[in-house]
Formats: sequence, structure tokens, C-alpha cells
Amino acid sequence: MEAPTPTPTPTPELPEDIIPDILKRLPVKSLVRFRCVSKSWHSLITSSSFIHTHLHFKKSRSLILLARYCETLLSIGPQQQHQPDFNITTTAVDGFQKAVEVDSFDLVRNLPYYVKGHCDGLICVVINDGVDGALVLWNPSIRQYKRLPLPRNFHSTREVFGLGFDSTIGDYKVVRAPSSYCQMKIKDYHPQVEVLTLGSNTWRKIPDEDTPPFCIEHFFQATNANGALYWLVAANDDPFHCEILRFDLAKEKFKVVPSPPDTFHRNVSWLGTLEGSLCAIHTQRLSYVDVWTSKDDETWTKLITIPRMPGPEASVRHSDYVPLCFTSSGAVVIGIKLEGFVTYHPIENKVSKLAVQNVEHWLQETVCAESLVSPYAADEPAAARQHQMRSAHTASRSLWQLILGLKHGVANYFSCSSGDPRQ
Amino acid sequence: MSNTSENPNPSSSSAKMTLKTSDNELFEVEEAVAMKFCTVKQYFEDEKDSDVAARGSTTVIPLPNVHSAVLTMLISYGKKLPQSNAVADNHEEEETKKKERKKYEQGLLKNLMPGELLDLISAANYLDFKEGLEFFNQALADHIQNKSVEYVRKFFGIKNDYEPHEEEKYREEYAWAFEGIECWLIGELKQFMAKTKTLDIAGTLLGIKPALIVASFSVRGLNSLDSNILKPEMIAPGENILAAWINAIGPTGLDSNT
Repeated sequence: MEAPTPTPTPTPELPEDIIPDILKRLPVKSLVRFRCVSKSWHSLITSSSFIHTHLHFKKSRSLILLARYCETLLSIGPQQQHQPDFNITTTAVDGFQKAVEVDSFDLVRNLPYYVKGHCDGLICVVINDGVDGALVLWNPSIRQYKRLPLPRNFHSTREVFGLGFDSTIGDYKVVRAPSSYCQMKIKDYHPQVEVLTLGSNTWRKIPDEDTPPFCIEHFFQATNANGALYWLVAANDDPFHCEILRFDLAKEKFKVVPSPPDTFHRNVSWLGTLEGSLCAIHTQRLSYVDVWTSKDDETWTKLITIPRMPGPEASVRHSDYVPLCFTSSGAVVIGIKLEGFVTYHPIENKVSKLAVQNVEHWLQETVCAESLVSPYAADEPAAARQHQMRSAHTASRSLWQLILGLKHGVANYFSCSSGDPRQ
Repeated sequence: MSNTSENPNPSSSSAKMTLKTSDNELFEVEEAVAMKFCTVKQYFEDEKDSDVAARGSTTVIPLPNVHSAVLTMLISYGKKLPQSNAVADNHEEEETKKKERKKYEQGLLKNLMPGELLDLISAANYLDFKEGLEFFNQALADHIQNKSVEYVRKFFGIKNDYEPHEEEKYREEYAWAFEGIECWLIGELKQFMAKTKTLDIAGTLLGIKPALIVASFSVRGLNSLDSNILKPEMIAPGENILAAWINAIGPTGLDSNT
């Protein structure tokens, strides 16, 4: 039989439910562009159900964001090499080879800032602008940000915040927790916990009896997993011993979670997420690294053990190993502060260096998802659109104002203060 | 043939089913592969329940929405998938099999025209062929990922219902999303050039009246490389052919251009 000739039919009508299935596989940049295809595609791509599907699609891409001191945020993302037609060849590590600056709004250029938490592609950033400071919710993938109202007695970068999603109310919450820096250095500092729900846009204190007897270091990022926020805290009775503090987003209660067991009684040196699960690592200088994961806070399962690699390639900075994410080949990308990146493949038991362009040093690493989630998700669509345009066009003006140190009230004009309070 | 075996888990791969396409072609397919098409599986199971199964004659399953060319490709993809009753391999074998499959998939996609992809997806959806749908949807997503809005509109046959000023405003606002994408024209050109063309010799046409007159300034005589060929080797009708021009300013500068 000869080769079949292509059918000369006109473009067949694809069934309605196929289009979202195709679109959910696309990166955010393509989707933002394709919102322009037609009005129906626009409403599809901006619908919350599609955004949710896109976010939770199993092959969704992770971005590694690097926060640097007084310099713009860097993003290392899976930029696929585009080949003509169907020859997509992904390079060895999914395109984690080049870091690009992410800051079209000059939000953080030349200003000290910290990433305090992240959730669903949104990051919560505190900026010290020399005046009152700013608390910003930012989605670097779609380049939208929203200034949040500041809580009382805001000490800018020395504060501790977390960002998470409360599925019981279907909204995002920003949590302000007691900061150990403020406890030590600020007079009359009352450690208290406040919660801001994006829909209500106001800060609300939680009852005093629920406030934990712990203070958190301001440079720790909150980890969002299992419907709760987690921080590493120093135990009250033994400052050299770390404990895991958990804040349930729905119930708004604190709890101490038992750390994974370790034969050498090492401290948990890092807490974070890998593939959506809570993850903790045990390591010490010159020792091997154990990576544990837990889905329910009760039982910990050992995920990977990164052995000590002999030879000059080995890094002595095992205590600074931070597992970031998995590549498509099953290797885990590890960031080592002050050194760079490596990948470790658990089955092949191989450590290889990962060279990333444009990265020299960084302060904090965050792995967040590429998502379409808008910081204005809780707002009315019309108001949200207005603010989007303001964000885009008045960005340079915003920076100028920051530098000139205008009053808090004027800065508030550009912050989003509308939005009906949720019932 | 196949409906005589009541075995739900066909361990013998010799059981076959017959599928009939929209252009009345018959395909004999191994049951294990055909079962991946859930629509076929459903039909087969319905048949089993009814009395027809007892008859023992061959059942031909009609697929009125699927063309033979498309079904050929879907079947060959289905054959390459890991069979559900296969023995679990160790890691090494699994890796080699994975690599083989990837190679096959890339080969399949290389020779595919984008328009065919839409046919394949429609058919896979009709047949409820989950693995095939997943694969071809991903291929289509990869294909359109870096394309322009115009390309996507044309590809899916979508009408642009935006006003020009609305669209322009959007493009300005999200200019960063429109950077570095493949120009629509380049995409079309690539596709055009990817199609193979053949030139057939039609022969000499006699008796055409009036005979074509070659313009006086066209070259005549022998081809310098091969004196068996007389110039002009290739001609087309028309003189003073102009390139395209914009409506605002015509080439002659006159008010009307015919």
C-alpha cells in the first residue's frame, strides 16, 4: 500500500473541551499573548477554572527566583528551545541555563527587599523604600503586582510574613508573624499574629491565646504546603535546636510539628517544598544530606540522600545545600549559596555542575510555579483591569515617588484599596 | 472473529477486530491495540452483552467520523504504546524502551503537517483514545507555543472579534508577551516550503490560438549551458508586472489605478 495522502478536508471544528486541554500545556507568555486571539479565548484564559487547571497541570513549569540584595529579581525558568515545527529538543536540564532579570516595574531595583513567602506563582515581597516600606504581592510570570495595605507598626524588611491559599474560603491569605529581630531590637514590640485575606484587604488580629510563644527570623521564607504555613524556629529551651512551626490557614492556629528523625541528632537546616510536598533537610558541614518529605506532618519519608562526593569537585558547603526542583529526567536541582548550582540524580548517583548564565550570587532562592494567578484575583474584574493598566504604565512613576520619599498617603493612591470586603 | 472470545484480558495477541472508516476502508487491528480506543471498547462490550456475540460472525465496527489515513496513524501509535499486559521491566529496559518510543514519536511528528494534527486530535477524541489524545494535544501545544496570534487564528479558523483599537491597546499593554515570537509570514513560508512539490512534464500543447507572443525584450536563442534547450526556458504571461502596493499611494501617482 502506498503512503496515505493527507486528507484535504477544511479545518475541522475541534470540540470545545479540547481547546482548554491544549492551552493548559502552554507557558504563561504564550497564554497572555493568546488572550488576544478572540474574546472567547480571552474569557477562557482568564476564567478562574482554567487558571486553576493550568496551575495544577502536572507538567507545569517551575521557576527558580533568586532574590538579590538591592538588585533585581532573577528568574531561571524552563525556557524551551524553540525549534521549527515539531522538533522540540529540550536541552539536558530543561533550559535552566540562563537567568533573566524579572522586574519590568523597577519595583526593587536598588532597594533592599526580601521574599517572605510564595504561593501558586504569587510571591509576597517586602521592600524597604526608605520611607514606610512596601508590602507587595507579585506574580513575575504575568508581570503584575499589587501593593497591599500595611499593617500597623510595620517594620518593613524585619517583619515576618507568609502567603498561602485557604481552600475553605477559596482565597489567599497573607499572615504576619512575630519577628525575632523586632523582638530583640524594637522597643515596645508586641509579638502578634495578623491575617489579611485578599478579598477583604484588611488586617485582622488573631486571638492572643493562639499567638505562638516563638519568634521567627526575618530572613526565613514561609513555606506553603498541606494547607498551612511552616517556619523554622529556634526552640525556646535550647536556642541551638530548631523546630518546625505550623500555622493552619483555615483554622488559623499554630502547632509544633515533630522534625524528621535523625541518627546523629542534626538540626533541620532548611524547610521548603519539593513537588508540592513539605520537605526538610538534615545536613551538617562535611556530612551527607538527607532530604525528607511529609504529606501529613506526622510521618516523614526519606526522599533522597545526597552522599558526600569525594574529590575536588565536592563542595564542603553541604550545610548550604538547598534542593530546588526536579528536572524532567528525575534529577534534583540543588542550589548552593555562594557557589552555584548542581544537579543530583538519585538513581544514577551522579552529581553534575549546572552552569547558569548571569548568576553570580544571590540572597534567597524561591521556587515558584509559573501561573496566571493574578494578585487582583479577589477584585471586581473592572477594577482589576484598571489597576493592571496603572501597574503597567505608572511603574516608572512609582519608583520615582519611592526615591523622592513621598508620603505614605500618596503611595496609597497607587495601591489597590478597592475591592469589596468578602462576607 | 474477535467476538467469539469472551476473554476480557486477551493474553493471546492474535485476537483481531475489524474497523471500518468513513471512506469504507477495512482495518484489521489486534484487540489489545483496538481496546485502547475506548469508543471501540465500549462498542465491543455492548456487542458482547447482546445476542450478536453468540452468532460468532465477524463484527465490523463502523467509525464514520474517522478517515483511513488518520486511523492508520492512530493505530501505528497505539501499537507503540506499552501494552497493559506486559511484564514489568527493570529500570534499564524501561529506559531503553522509553528512548525508543521517544525516537519513534519524534519521527512521527517530523513528517506531520499541522493540519493533519487537527484531524488526528478530532479522531482521537471521537475514539476516546486517551494516550493518543494526550500525545497529540501536547504536540499541538508545542507547535503553537511560539506562534503569533494571527497564526493561531488562521490555524483554528477563529474569527477575530476584537476592534482594531482594542487589539492594539492589548498588544501595547502586554508588549512583553509579543516579543520573540515567530512572524506569521515566516511560519507560512516554512510550512509552504516543507511541502514537497513535483514538476510533471505536461508535454507539448498544440493548436493554441492565438499563439503567445514573446515580448520583444525577452531573450531568445540557445541556452549557454545546453544548446539543446532554446530560450526562454520558462515564460509567464504579462508585461509591466508591478509588485504589491498599498492602497494609499499607487505606483502611478494617479487617482485611480486599474
